Amino acid sequence: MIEYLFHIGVIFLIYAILVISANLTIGMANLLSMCHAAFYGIGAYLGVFFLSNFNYSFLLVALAVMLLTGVSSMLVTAASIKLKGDYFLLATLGFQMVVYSIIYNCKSLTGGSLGISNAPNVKLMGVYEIDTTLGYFLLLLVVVAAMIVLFELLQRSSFGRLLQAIRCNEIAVEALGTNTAKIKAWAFFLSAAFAGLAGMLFAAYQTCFFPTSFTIDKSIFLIMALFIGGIGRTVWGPVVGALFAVLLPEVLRSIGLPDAMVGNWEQVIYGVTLVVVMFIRPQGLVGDIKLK
Amino acid sequence: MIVQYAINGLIEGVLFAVLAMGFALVYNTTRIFHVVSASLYVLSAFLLYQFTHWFQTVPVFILGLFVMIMVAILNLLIDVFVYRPLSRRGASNNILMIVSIGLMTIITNLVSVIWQDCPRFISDKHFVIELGSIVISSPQAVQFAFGVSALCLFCLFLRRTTFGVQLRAYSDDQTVFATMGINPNRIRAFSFLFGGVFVAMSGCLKAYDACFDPQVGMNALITAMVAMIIGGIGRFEACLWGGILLGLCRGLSQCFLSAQWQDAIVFGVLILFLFLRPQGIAGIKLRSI
Repeated sequence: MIEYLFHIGVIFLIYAILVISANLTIGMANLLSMCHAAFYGIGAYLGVFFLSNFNYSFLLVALAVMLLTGVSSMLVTAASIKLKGDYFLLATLGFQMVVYSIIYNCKSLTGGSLGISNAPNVKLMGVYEIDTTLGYFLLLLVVVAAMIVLFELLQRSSFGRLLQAIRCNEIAVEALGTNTAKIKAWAFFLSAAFAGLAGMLFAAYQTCFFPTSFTIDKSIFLIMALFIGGIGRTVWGPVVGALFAVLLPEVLRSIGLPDAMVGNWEQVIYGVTLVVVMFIRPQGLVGDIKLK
Repeated sequence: MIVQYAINGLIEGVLFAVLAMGFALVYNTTRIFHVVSASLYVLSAFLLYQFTHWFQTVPVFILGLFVMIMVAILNLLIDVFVYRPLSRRGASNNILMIVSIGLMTIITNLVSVIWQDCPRFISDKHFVIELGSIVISSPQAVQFAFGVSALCLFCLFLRRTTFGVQLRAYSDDQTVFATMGINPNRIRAFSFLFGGVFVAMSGCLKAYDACFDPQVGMNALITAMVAMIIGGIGRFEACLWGGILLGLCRGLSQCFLSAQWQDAIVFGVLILFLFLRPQGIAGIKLRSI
């Protein structure tokens, strides 16, 4: 039982990383992107690659994965960061589809539809292997705490303030001589990097996973969780969204809905909640800004 | 062999063009990213399947017409009961898109629950037309004929009738349009109705040929959006050109690569267009894209 609670805790924390990082692009930079699951997937496969080939410490692997996932995000920004909102959205959708078809079809590289079945565990300092659910829970707790502190600091930095200014009036910021495309691209880079970190932790924790975890439906799901929780300057909206996303299926299972039906009904409830929330409180349950 | 692939691609492209027209009718006029189209596409295919199952004596075409009317009305109801109230509360188009994503999830998953998530197909007497070495099945011929004639007739309608001119004027500038003393809500209702008709037509035609499962909607819609963009946003005829170009690329990619890379090819084409010609094939050069 306690093991099960820790398992839900781990999943919640992974989702928290994903949704908080999605908030950085969608909430703070006002860039609607639908390829978060692609970065999550890239991080997962890069994580497996680094963990199984090198005996480095957790921090080093995490940094490498984040850097490379961030670099991959430049493929999107190079083509579309200067375009209008809907074009950017379509470019991210495209990136999501391309990454998924590469993951799914390149059997020699990624294992194809069979996925990865023996991802190695994370090693702290390259020595202490973490192999229990409790271990991952504590590790993720530290990671999420560090991430929240980092994001709060980011908000107060000049970078965070520039993002806020761009959200309010992009043309004015541009007129003051700031390269807004560059700032937005950096926000997208950071967001992708953290999604990659979540992917790597997911891979190490699950040991066995399939490419279906990184589909466009996952991206849409993350967006729904983010908007139910609420976008904003704080991290609490995304955290509430992630909590909702993780608890709902467990609640549905506990009231005795058969497992085969849980997936669909869960999605229906997310959809209804999202529509209702948008009607009553467009900024989300605990969010503090409206999407422009 | 290449000709065969090209023809298959062309016919598939026409279907994407029809779906793109359904999306563009809403997007060009209201600027709402109407993602619900993906689930309506799936819903219409399953409705057609259910109707052919219930009424086996009635010809498929009449049932298809019936499905198109139903989906068109549903599309209009979504506008009247969801988008308009939200707009009145000052919701931006991005918020409407998020709501649209929510609605899409609801409808798609309800379809999965009702029809049990397994692929269905519509049984009708199919035959094959052979022209030398090229083989075209009768559903493909039906898809091509219906798709192209519907699109051409509609484009003619948009060009020649007063109503069509009004629709194009509305998509250019809503405020100026309203000052001309014409009721903009009528145009908006019309574009949602006909958007629904085209989305349902695409779904029905697709379901007439191939088996269909509930999860294909989003992929089809994204391809159709790409067709709309590479054709040229702001022009309704452009959907046809974009769809055909995309279909040919997809078809020919099967010849040189394998079929599993089709989705990636679509976005290769999109990225090329975004870099080189963001206004699309037949698009108007805009100041800011």
